[in-house]
Amino acid sequence: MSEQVASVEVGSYSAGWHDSAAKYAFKAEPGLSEKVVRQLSEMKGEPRWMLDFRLRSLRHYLERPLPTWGGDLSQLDFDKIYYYLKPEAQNARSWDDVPEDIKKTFDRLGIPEAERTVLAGVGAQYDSESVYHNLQGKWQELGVIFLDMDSGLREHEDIVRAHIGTVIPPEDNKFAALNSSVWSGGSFVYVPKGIKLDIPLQAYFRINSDRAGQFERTLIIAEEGAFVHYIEGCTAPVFTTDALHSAVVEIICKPGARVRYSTVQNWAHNVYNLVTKRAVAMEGATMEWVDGNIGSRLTMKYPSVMLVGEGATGEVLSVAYAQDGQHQDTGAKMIHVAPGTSSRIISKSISKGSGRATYRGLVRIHDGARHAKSNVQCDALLLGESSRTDTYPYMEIDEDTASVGHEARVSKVSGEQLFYLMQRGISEEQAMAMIVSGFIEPITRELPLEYAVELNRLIELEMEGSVG
Amino acid sequence: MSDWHRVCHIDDLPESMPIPTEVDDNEIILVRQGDQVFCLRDRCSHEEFPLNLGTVDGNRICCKAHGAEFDLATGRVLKAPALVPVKTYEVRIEGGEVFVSID
Amino acid sequence: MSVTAVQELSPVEQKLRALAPDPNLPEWFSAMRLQARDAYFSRAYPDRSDEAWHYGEAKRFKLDSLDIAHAQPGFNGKQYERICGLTGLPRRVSCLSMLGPRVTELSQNDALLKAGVTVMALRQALALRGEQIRPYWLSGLVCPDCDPIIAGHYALVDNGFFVHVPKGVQAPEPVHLIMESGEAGSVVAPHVLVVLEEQAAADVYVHFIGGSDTERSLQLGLVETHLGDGARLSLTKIQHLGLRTDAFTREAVRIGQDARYSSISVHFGGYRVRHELAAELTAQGGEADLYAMHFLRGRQRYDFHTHQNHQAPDTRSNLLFKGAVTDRARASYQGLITVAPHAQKTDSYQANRTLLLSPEARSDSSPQLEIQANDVRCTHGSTTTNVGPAELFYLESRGLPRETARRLIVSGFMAQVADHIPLPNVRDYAYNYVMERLE
Repeated sequence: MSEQVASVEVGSYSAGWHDSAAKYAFKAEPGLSEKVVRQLSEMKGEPRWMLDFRLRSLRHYLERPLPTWGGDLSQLDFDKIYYYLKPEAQNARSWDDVPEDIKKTFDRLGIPEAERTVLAGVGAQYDSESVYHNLQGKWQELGVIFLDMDSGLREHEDIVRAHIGTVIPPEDNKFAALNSSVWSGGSFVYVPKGIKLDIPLQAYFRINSDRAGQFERTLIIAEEGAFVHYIEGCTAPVFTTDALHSAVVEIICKPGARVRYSTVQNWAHNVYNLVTKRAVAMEGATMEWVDGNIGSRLTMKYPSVMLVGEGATGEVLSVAYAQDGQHQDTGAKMIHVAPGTSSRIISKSISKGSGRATYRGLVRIHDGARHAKSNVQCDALLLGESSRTDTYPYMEIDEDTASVGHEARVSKVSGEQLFYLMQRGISEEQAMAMIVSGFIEPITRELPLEYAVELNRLIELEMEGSVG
Repeated sequence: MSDWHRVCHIDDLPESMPIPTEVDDNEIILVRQGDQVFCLRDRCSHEEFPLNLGTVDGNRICCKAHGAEFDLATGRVLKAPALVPVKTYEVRIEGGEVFVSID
Repeated sequence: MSVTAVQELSPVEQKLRALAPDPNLPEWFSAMRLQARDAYFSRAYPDRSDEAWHYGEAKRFKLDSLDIAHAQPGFNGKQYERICGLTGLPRRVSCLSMLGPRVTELSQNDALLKAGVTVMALRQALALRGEQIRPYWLSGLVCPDCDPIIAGHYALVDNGFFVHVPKGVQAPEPVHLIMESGEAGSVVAPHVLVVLEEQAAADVYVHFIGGSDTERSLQLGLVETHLGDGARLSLTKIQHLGLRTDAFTREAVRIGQDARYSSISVHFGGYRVRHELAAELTAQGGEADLYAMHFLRGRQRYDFHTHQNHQAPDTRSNLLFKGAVTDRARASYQGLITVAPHAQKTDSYQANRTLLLSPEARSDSSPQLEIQANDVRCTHGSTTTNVGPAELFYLESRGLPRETARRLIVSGFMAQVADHIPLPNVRDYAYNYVMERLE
């Protein structure tokens, strides 16, 4: 096995950002072992308890079998993955290495040159200092903490220690255990009591050496009455050689708080995207997940809300798009523990070509969750003759005063609708794009404008060549 | 109105191990700790996996499926991902005979 | 109390071990029994990790501690009268009853005989028309050895009912079949085979009665139907078993071209009950209407498993399962609609509605879809509620006492399914039973 010593410089930002420049010398090797985890923790200079947390998680990961349900994971070779930093040879060295179809998409979407190189994982970081400097200052004034997770652990160890793993313990599932052992990067967000942030926080703002890490760990704490909107991902395709992305997002909404977490995922089609996202909503709190899944070879993701406080509300708005060779296995979970809680899940999926979109959801109403209300709506649009959709919802109700409803519909683009539009001089492809956009509109209207615009443009692109 | 059911002799129970049994169609586990016997419903409140496949650690029982933990005496949740307590049953020991109250 | 007790074979399991081919039955029939017997002993019982048993308890249908039911010297005359009385005039219908291995003919209808409709004991049919039955018995509509529960049925079955309607014949009168379960500690394995040739039509009722109210008894039943092209069958099943009787029923139907299957299931009795329903729409134009109404109390647990399997184009299916749950009972429903890639123009609907009428009542519902054709219309819905406060208020404001209002709402809820039962007396019986329980 060849040894490589690589040095990585972590970028530094002024005021508010505490990334310190550091040089790491290490031997990178594929596969996961206790040695890799210890190395990782040591390089990060982590406290003992975090190393123990990682090692305990590793032990569980190794003994836990793969899930017998969900997408097909048989092609994923866990031994070939680099669980921390990889040797440079793995990254695309130049613009020439980036696949053609991705370059074309950048063109069509009108992505500026500078952004393209960053998205492609090629060049240096996007220089964002000037834009974000002002925002940094404002946040500091309010007592808002927004750091990458490594810095969060370093600078706010007590808060992190008190909350990490409390919403998603490492034993929860195999990939939560994996993430808990090798996590790196992700966001740490803390919003103090009563602070309502009018500008969304974006993951994009905290670019480090990886454009987006494989095993991000995010922790968001919203104190009483706080409000924050956090945005992750982007509609432009992200090229990466990493086959496996396994993130964990834990969110705690204290009484009266409201958190909205929006994601648009467009990983290249070689990526397995296995994510555990869960929030706890206390008395009167509201948690909203807005989830867009466009890319990846396989995504398994079921944003959840535990409604543990009286009157808490949870919502998941999910849109999934699957085309040839893709499987979007997504959904939501709502667990009602306290009385007066309500939840809503709206899932819209589109399958094109031989793509497969699966909805998997759970609504559970515990005994005592008096007058709980839950409503689920799943709509699937099948564009191609060999497109596929599945729906596996579960409703478990233990409280007689609760009211739970679920509805699902599968259909194709109506011939009449198409005809009507084409009669007005619109091309078939454009008409398809309009119909599909209309189909997912209830979800896209909840996304920040630029995402919605880009998502619709992406759909237009996808519809080309889908007809005739 | 609850009924007392004789389930076993205390000597039948090994120390700190969840032993499953059924009383009047209720699936329960018995855990002996010294002279005390605890009785809980044999289902984790998270996803209804049998608790008898889990392990006892001090005053707590750990579910094998996803790591949830409950207090043996009260059934209270001690660790996620469980959210609600596990039902417990009253136990009475008379002359070494273990009785469980099922309502 | 022992932690490591070794399971001994129960009396019925011992009999299965010693099973030998019966010279009075066709060889192929005995061969399948032996095959199933082997599968019963070798296959593992599914547990929660098996998707199909997410809510059920497969081990309840094991044969431990049981023996084969004894045919009673007389029969439960009163119950039978009641059932035959449901038809209005006992003499007008064909009514067969079965307990354990013995089938009794209660009344035979001349019009049916004249029309060429066959209603007879399976054993008798195997002796007289074995070759006619063979292709259906071996058709693979139900896999006899894929799981230990069905394997247990096929290993035990040595009698049942055979109903046959020839080509183009519309059975002029309804057919009633009575399956009686045995005493406490016993198991029965009733089997109903219904064959309708092309363009045939019939109205069949299967009544499940007997069993024990105090100690466990078990019923492993199978109701299979083969519909020829253009055939039409209405099949009503009423389960009114003892309150400590566990019952497993697999209902399967293969629906021919443009044929139509209408199934109504009514469940009131039993303790741990699992009803699996598989509708195979294997030919173009086939239709299935599947209804069920159930009323649970005490600590009953009903577990429903349905499959609307669209394997051909232009097929239609419609499912409506409605239940009311009281006391500490629990109703679970898992329903799957699958549409094969070439089953274009499928029209499929599935609805599960549950009313929870007491604080400890529980309900689980998982309506599922696996769709591989795009020119289809598939919808499903599931709701679980209490009796709505708004509706209650509406009726109370019109002078109805609360309890009466509640009963009215529940009765309306159930009527939607009960109304599909063709015979008025049977329909009223189902409906009134619910009303009486609500008092």
